[in-house]
Amino acid sequence: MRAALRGTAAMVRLGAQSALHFRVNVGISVVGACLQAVLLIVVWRNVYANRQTVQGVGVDIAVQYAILSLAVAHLALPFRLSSLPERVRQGAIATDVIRPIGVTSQNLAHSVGEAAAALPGSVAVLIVGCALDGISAPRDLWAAGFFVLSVGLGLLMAWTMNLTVSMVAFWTTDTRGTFYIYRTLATFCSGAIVPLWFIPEWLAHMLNALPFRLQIFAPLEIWFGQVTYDHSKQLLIQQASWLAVLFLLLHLVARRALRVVVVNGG
Amino acid sequence: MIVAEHLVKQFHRRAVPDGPASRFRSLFAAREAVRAVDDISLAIDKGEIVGFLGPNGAGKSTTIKMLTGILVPTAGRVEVAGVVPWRHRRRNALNIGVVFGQRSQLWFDLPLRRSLEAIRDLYSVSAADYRNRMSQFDDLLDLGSFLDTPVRSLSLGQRIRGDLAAATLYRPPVLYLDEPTVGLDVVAKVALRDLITSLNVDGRTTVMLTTHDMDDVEQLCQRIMVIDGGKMLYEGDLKDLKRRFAPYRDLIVTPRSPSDADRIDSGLATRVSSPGAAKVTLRFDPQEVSAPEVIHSVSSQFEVSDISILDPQLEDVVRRLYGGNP
Ligand SMILES: Nc1ncnc2c1ncn2[C@@H]1O[C@H](COP(=O)(O)OP(=O)(O)OP(=O)(O)O)[C@@H](O)[C@H]1O
Ligand SMILES: [Mg+2]
Repeated sequence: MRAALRGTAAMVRLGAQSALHFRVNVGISVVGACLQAVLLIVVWRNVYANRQTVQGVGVDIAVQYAILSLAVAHLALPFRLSSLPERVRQGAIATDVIRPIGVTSQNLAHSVGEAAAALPGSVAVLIVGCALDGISAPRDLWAAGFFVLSVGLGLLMAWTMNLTVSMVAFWTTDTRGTFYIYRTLATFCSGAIVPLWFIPEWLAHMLNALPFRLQIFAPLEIWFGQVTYDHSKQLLIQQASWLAVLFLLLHLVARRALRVVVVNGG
Repeated sequence: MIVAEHLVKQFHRRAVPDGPASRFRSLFAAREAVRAVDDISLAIDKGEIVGFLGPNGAGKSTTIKMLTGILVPTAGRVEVAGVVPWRHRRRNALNIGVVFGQRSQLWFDLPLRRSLEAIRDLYSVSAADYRNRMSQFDDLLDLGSFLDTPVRSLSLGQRIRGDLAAATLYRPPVLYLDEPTVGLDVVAKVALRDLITSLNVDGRTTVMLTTHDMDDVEQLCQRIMVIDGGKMLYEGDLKDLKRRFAPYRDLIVTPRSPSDADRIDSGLATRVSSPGAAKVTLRFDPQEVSAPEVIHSVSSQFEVSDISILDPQLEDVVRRLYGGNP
């Protein structure tokens, strides 16, 4: 047990080191995130220039949503979804199979570490948001606590899904197409670009059936106090249940994938 | 330590038919089975270094992948240090180290040091052991000079040395080396052999070595196994192999006057060098006639400036084995 923890921690560290190793890349992603934050704030304030509310949502909420969702999405959908495709291409995966911790645990830990490298970008977004007067305090301490918990669960969901999608690398060498579609879908459906208040009802029903909503939109609903205390708890339970389902899915996909890899190369 | 019984690995691939649109038609073609490993049994004791030889495509890598647990055998039984590798991969992981010469287990973007630190933690190596072993690697493999270089920018030889360090850092009782010397220069080869020898002597590490370099085999292995077409062709002592497949020795004679070269002969040995060569090669069977007898017979008839005896080369032996005409 202690050995497994130490191994997992090592993989998290390795993930962070891999991502932070490219300093220029980290710098660019921080600048990019800040730019995005400024633009979003400017655009939303312009949208609200001549009106009080849009669909019942006021300017402060809209701006704040944009900042917070950007900060979370930056962590949930990092630049590189996973290092797995590269290790598959290099054939290093063959030795990963025979490590003292499982391939999925190794990679999940590595992804968590890689996400740490996106942290500077997220923090920068929050700083920009505060500087431009775009963030206000949550309704109460409960909302804040639930929010943190909910963001954590949402991120775990996102990382699990990222890794599951990355497993296509076992079947196709070029993953760019798949990643593009997934990234687009995940960004939109999680509410990372457009707050889900603004989408038509029939689409909302569809999104309710998918796990993406719970990654970004749900934590923010909690933050804004738009859901009751009981409903917040329900959202957390939904997240945890989805997380279990996604873990299971990941393991199933990994099992099939490993059956493929294991055969390759000489 | 390593036991395999009636090991079989069958791969499936689609037959590609000839003729127009063959790529398209192959989608519907029946899958044909390829037996990469076909009923191999072997047993390796603790502390042995065994050479695992065979021509390209013989099934060596496939066998090693089954022994390490990367591949699941189609049939047969494997047990390594009391563990069935593919069934208990994580338990097995602590017992084995693997180096595949053509690929790396290291993390590509990061300095070598980071990979070794990760391995240290993955395999629960204590800080003190880590320090000792790193200094040994530095002595034997000159690791220190490129520890802080990203793996991606290492030369082939450096990378393989890094991989060897990664595979032996936690001192696994069993070490599999699949073509570890491919592309290494002479100095690096010697360093690698020294490390393997010292692990084997000090730690009683069991080593299974695949290579196409016969010097590796002669320097390291007491016993060899030769496979071809997925089947065991020969298994036994290196000396026995030579005796069996090359039951001759060569006497190389340089005559004092070159005009003698084409006349030199001895009734006791067969001339195998081509006419016109400055040196003459006489081949004899040491079971029938002794070396001094042949030497005496030649030197009593001709004036010679140099004479030497050549043992059969392992390369020749192996070539004859692979060719199937002993
Ligand atoms: N994934 C696979 N699918 C189909 N056939 C395979 C697969 N992997 C290996 N083979 C076949 O199995 C045979 C044995 O391959 P293997 O890699 O074990 O050879 P080897 O002895 O290691 O050769 P080399 O000296 O060239 O490394 C080859 O004919 C190879 O084409
Ligand atoms: Mg091979």
